[in-house]
Amino acid sequence: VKLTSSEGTEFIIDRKVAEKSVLLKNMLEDVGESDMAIPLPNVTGPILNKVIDYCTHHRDDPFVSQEDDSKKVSDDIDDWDAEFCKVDQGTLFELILSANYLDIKPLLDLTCKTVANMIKGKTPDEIRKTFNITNDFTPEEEEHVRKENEWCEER
Amino acid sequence: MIALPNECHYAIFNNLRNNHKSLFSCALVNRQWCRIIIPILWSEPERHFENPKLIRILLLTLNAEEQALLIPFKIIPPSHPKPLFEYTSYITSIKTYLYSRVENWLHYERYKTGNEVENAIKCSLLAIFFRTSKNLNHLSLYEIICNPIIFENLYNNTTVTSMDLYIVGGFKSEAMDKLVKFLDKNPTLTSLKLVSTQRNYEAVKTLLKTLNNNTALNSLDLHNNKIGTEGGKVLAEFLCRNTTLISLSLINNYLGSAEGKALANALCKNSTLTSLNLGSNNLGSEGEKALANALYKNSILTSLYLRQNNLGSEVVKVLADALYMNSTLNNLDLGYNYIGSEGGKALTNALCTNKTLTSLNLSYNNFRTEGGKLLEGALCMNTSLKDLNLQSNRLGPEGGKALADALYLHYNNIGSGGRALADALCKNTTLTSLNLSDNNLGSEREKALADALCNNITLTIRNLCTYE
Repeated sequence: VKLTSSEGTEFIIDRKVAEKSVLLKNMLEDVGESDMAIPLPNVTGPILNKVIDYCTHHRDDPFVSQEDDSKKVSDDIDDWDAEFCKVDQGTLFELILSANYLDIKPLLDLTCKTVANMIKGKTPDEIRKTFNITNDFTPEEEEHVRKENEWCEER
Repeated sequence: MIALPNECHYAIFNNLRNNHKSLFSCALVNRQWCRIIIPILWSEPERHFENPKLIRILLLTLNAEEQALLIPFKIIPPSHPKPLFEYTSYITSIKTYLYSRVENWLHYERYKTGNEVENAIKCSLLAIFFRTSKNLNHLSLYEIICNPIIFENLYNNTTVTSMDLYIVGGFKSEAMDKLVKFLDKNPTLTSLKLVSTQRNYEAVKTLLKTLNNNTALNSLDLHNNKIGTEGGKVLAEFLCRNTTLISLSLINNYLGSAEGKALANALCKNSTLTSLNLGSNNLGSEGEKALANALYKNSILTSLYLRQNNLGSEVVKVLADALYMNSTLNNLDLGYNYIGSEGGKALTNALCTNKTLTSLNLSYNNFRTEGGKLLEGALCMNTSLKDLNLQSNRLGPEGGKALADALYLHYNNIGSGGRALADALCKNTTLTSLNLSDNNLGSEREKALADALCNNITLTIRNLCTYE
């Protein structure tokens, strides 16, 4: 299967690896095998490279269905996956976007879990700093949100 | 930070759904985060109801009609400031915990407590949930169902799929009338639990009559209704005809031998039920034998729970014979039956050939050392069992060793039972869960088992503490 990234770089991968992406899987089923490269204008070359790394490593994992208990939350990330996620923040968010666009549930879960772990235990201020987010609350609004939800902080 | 679509944010925050403290921090980050977090944070606030501040926020949402419920009790509900969000609309599940915390709030606000005033507040809260909620899917109720406001709302609700109804004392006919009227019309409820503290035969009879015409409900739990002989008969007749129920639980319903037979007969005819729980009844050997024999004909049932039914070794032999032939049953619970080594022998023989059972509970069955040895042979042959509970069986060091041999597939073991068992665990790869607590396996046990855990990645051992 041939894929082209946003800058036009061509990637050739196994069909089995490509099928980790539900988007590609459906496309391949619709059009059948073809020599034409599938353009992925939303994914840059370096990111696509990472995504292919991930899909190749996990090529033999059983398929997880979309509805598979979205409430099930686990903290464990295996060593390979943890190493895979040791990238700069920009790359990590690009990976989330690509996983979402290409519909690769396990990669989306992994990257989102990694971000969630970065959030855990931080104050709002620390979170804003970590992700470079501006606070657009008015002071009154912020106080409102705090007052109305403070119950969940006390145990 | 790169702008992510909301669905990606949701996927990130969903990982924190059980970490309310982190969610709270996120809600304060900025407006966009706040809008995504609030619905997650408020979907299951259950464990925080003990905080009166939470109930206070809920009460801020009362409308004039709901506030009117509290006027007779001179309760002035908090009315300002108007909340930023309609928080109550995100709640998905109301369990009994909310009810027990209303008193707490009354204390906090220095109001007098009492049944009537508490009921009024509970009614007003439920009225809000019904009015505002978009995703309420689980609801626990009790006699409060008789309140016209609650019933009217329930009657028009289309989101609740699972309901628990708790009644202290027998069911008052009024509550039953309301429930029946609701079930007659409701197409969305799929799971109903009716729990009573005393004999409740008439109510169950009425309920079953209504369910004859209901095609939505697939799970019914009649825990502790003590329906007895008459009830058992009605229930068996119901099961013969019913084609929608998938799961039925009849724990502690005073079902005896005749009812066991009737239910067995029904199982031969029913073609939808996959899970049946008959725990804590007194089915007697005749009833149990009939049930065991039904397993020859029934090819639908995947779970059967016969915990605490005083099964004798005779019955277990019949059951074991049935297991030779049956190829659908996955879960079997025979805990607390004091089956003894004779029954254990028959059962373990069946395990040699059975290929479908994945979970077996044999806790408190007094297998003793002989039983443990017998299990040896069985486990060597068996390849399907993933979850085995052998808690409190007096296996002793010898039995433990035998069991170990089995798990180890005849690896040559020396040393005490615990030691051997531990070695075995290093090799066996099919069993994923084993409970061996309270078995007096021998002194080296703990260390050895701990070592074994280091090597065995598929098995989780529970409850190693013993009561020697």
